[in-house]
Amino acid sequence: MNLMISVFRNEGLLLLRNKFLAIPLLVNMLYWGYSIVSYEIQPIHYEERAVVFYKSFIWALLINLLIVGLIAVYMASKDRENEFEQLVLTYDVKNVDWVVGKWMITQLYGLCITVMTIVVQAIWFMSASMTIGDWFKNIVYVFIQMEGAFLLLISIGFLFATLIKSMFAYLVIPAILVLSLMFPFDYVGKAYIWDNPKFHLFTPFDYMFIGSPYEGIWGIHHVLKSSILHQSAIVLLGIAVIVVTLLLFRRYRRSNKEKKMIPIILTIFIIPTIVLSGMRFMQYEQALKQYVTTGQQYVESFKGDDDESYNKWMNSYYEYNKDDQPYEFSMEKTNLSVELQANDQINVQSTLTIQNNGNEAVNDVFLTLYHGLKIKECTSAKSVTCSQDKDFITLHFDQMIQPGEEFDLNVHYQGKILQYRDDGYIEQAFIKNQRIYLPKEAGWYPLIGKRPLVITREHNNLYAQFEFRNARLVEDFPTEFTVNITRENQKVPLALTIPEISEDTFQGTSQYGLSLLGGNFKEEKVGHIRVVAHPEVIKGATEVIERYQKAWSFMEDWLGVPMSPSVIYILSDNYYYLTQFSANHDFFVLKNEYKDDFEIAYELKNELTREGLFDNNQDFHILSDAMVWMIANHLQEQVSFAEWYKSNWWVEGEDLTVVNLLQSYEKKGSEKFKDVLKYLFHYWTELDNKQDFDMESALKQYEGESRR
Amino acid sequence: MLTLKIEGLQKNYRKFQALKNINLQMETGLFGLLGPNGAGKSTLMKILSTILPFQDGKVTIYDFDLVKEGDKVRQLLGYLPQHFNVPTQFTGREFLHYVASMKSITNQQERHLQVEKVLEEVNLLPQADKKIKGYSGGMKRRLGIAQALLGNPKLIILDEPTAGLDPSERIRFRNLIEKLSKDRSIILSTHIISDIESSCENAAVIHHGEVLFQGATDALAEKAINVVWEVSVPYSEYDQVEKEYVIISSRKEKENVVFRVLSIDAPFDEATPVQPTIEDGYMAVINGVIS
Amino acid sequence: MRGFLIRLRLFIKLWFSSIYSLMTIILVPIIGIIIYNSGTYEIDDLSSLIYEKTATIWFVFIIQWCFSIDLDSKFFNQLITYPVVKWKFLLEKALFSAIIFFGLTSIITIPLVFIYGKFLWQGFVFTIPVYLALGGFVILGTMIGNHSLGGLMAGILFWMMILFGGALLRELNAILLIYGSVQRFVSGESGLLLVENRWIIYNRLFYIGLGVLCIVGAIIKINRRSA
Repeated sequence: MNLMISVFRNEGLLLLRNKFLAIPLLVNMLYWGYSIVSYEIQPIHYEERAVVFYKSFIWALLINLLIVGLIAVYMASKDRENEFEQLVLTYDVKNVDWVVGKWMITQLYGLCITVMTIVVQAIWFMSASMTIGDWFKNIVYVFIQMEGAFLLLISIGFLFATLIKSMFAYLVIPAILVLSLMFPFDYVGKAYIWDNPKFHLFTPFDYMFIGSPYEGIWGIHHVLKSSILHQSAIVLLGIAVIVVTLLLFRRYRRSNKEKKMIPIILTIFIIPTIVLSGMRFMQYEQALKQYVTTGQQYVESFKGDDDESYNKWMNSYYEYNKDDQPYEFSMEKTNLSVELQANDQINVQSTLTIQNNGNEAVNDVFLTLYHGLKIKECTSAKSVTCSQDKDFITLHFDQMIQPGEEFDLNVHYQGKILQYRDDGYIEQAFIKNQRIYLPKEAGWYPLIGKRPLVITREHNNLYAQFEFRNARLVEDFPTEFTVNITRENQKVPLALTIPEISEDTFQGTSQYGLSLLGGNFKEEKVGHIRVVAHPEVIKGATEVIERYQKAWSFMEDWLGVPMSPSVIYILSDNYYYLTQFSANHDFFVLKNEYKDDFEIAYELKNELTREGLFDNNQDFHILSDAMVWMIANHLQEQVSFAEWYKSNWWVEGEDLTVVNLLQSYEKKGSEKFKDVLKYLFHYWTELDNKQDFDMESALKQYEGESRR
Repeated sequence: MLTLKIEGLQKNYRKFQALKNINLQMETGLFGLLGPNGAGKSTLMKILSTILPFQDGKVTIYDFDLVKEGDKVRQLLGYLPQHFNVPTQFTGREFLHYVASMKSITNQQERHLQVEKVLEEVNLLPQADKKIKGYSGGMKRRLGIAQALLGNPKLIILDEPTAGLDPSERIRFRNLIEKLSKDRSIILSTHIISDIESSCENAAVIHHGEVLFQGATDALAEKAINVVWEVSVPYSEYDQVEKEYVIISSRKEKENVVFRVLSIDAPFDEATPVQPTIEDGYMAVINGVIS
Repeated sequence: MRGFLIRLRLFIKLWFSSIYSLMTIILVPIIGIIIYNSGTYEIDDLSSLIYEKTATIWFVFIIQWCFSIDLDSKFFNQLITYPVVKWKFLLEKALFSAIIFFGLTSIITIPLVFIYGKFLWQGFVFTIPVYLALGGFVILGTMIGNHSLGGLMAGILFWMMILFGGALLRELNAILLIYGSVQRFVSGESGLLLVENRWIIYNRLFYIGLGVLCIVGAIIKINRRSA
């Protein structure tokens, strides 16, 4: 032990005197300095500190892993190359003293980088809006990720430096990093056929997240426990690897004690490594299985036989507007008593008031409810039998429901609401102590009509063999909601898409529906809009929403369509993408980022023109661009439409004919141009076949009507 | 003709003065540079071979200024350092061809002739096609001498050339450099007196960065006339003698020990003055017994 | 520098009798099989995989080997007593590496061109500025570290950066052949001087500039070097 400490101390002294090894530490300091300063000098923050931190952290970790790995190979092989090791072997020092002494000083070097990072994090997060508990958890997370990864990489570096006695040992480090991190690195939630998401577990740090481990108002709670499990296995594996190195290092020189102890120690570490790895594997396997099972329930196969209809069928997956399925019945009122239980369980007593808005009397009425929630009781004043098949509930009435008739229904259901998306990486709906999310897309309360919650398509190129997305769920009629929530241990504040009238009681009318969230958020009003966001980004979100509001008001006046929502949720990227297409004029969702005027304009235009997104009708695209320009011009004055169009698309000559046509109206003044575009927009919406849109004919018709 | 002239040379390593006001001259022939370890010999050799810069002074080699015309100096230079490192992936012959090409011996025939000649001169022909990796220490040293001889250098600087050579190789080497010194300047830096004694006409003694002696090798011995004594004392007085006098050598004779010591005056009544050798002169100079 | 051809012959002979060439002979077919089985049949992806992602690390090792001969053995301290000019020595070794690398890559490219078409040659030439930057970086690292290991580390860092740093580098990304617009540029389908292709030219100029800067830095370092 004394000798090991002596080796450790002397190697430490050499390390201190090596000017090159200060470079990674310096580079880290500069990198974090730059990241922090460039965030803090912004007058308004659109992202949380933690978002910026974790974005930078991933890059820093990858580069540090490479550097530390190369340094480990250097430490293990330098004395062999300068032949000092030959001399050392004649001394009384044991193999374990020599190798482990060097290994420990290399670990200390890695620890210096880790400590530097967590000190930066700890200080920076002091000004972040999070509780002390969350602050501490973030530090623990970064520590276990970095230290675990370094420990393993350093051990691997030592192992291969012992095995490969040449410069090629250095190549092993980037090779291992590339092999293990190549697929997880740019993974977006869809693994291709040549990738297996289960292999993403074989990384030196827990990389089972998409983009960032930080989830906005839910922090890192989702990833923390699984990371601890993952990294525990990694640490044990790292120790096992260095023990293997001892087995292989100068075998002839091993003492009797070493010969006996090393295999025993190896066994002691290998077994828990396997157990913990197995646990982590099973954890993910479960999530992936749930995701695949859900997808397979909904998967549609192509039934045609020609290429053209195949392409059309494939593209229809992206035509979210085609998810809309109008239904004659409406949900007038929904009263819910929701009991949120631990481990993602909910128990709901609901009273629904449903009206027949159609022209025909029917016996059957359909509702949609997530299949994981089982109906315990289903009663009504009218005689009814309820049956549940997958996500659909069929209410069969003995007496027909007449047009205009309204009836009440009591449904008691309960079950596990936990659902996964993106190859099992993302929890779509969850109820935990520190975080709650029940989005409408999870089907956690009865929706009127028979609507799929999920759209999937067979896809041979993907690992799961299908493409999977949340369906767009739009309501034709508003609903009055009253929601009462009771919960066991969770103390996190809650927000719903309708206002809170007293603690855990919510009431309001919404044409979107209910999305419940609980976490670290702040609620503020921007005009008449309720904004729910992480406290750090509320100011930035307000700035963006004010411009959205300006655009919405403008579009409502100009085109006569309802745009402005009553509530906006600011969510992290992954959750934004799961929800965005269901958003409507009652509920809106944004990412925590800055948006420039044109991005806002494009988004709002797309909301109105979803049907034409995949058309290759050039006239329609020019009309779209004109609408975008009009909105952006209202937010901030722009160059003329024709100039803007030309600079955007780099076109010349005859391609500008239609643009010039529109420009002639622009020259007549802003009001005239607005009027023309409004006409063209409504003309287009009224067409049965959007491909028939022809700008010239439409303008001729406009001229004709104007003269009249 | 003066081939090497050093005037007021000064070399500092930060605050440490490695060489202080060195003044040296040499002509064609063999010149010995003596001095203990750390005296500054290797530093001086490195300066002359254009490796190290210096702070003050002037050095002229064959009328070329060392600082301003260093490239011309290198064209007539052959240098063997104290620690000779060589890429071990080459064979001996390949290595010498490599060096020859860098010494501007580009004509294939000429290069071939020179390489074979130096290999023969250092007795490495049998091992010439073996990788240097497998050479013994002595063979690497001989290879070092061989590369120094390539290109017919007019100034050859050899720093501890015989380290690692066995007696027969040492004699062979001595004969070689004697032959070469006829029309070249060769500086032999060593602390092995016998290397200088037999071959060098002139020598200098350097200690603590200063030249303490410069002149004919015989004159170094003469410096110690009347300061070298031989005395026989009982064994019990060994420590006392060792404390008080500079001992050049000692040998046991029955119950006594016979010392050869340096002293201005007779150390003992029974001490007898002896004819000094070059080694005696060297020891007297570096120990400050004579100036 | 005089004696260039002699030294070139010596180094090429040495390279072919070293473990590096053995590794090359073994690894090139293996990597070829892996690439073939990866299903990368699109010409732009294939040329990017070969010239931008794989050949770059190979170049790093060749440069590292070339400099290791004189530097790692400390023979350089002796070499500077010969009538050689230090910066010419550096450029000569760089040239040796380039000759070995470009020679071997050309040998591999010839049969591939017969199979996949001339775009591969064009892709190879298009990647030369990246090789220049990479080479300069490795040589500078070697000079700073006084050992070929310095160059190897620098080269590995550079290589990993170009493989994974696309999001950070953006328009300065070294991996460009995968993009359709670049493919059209390289194959000559779109004009070299078109406005929309300017960023490609700036990108290549950046790498050329970086390479030149690194080599100048290395020359300054080597000229200042004494024993």
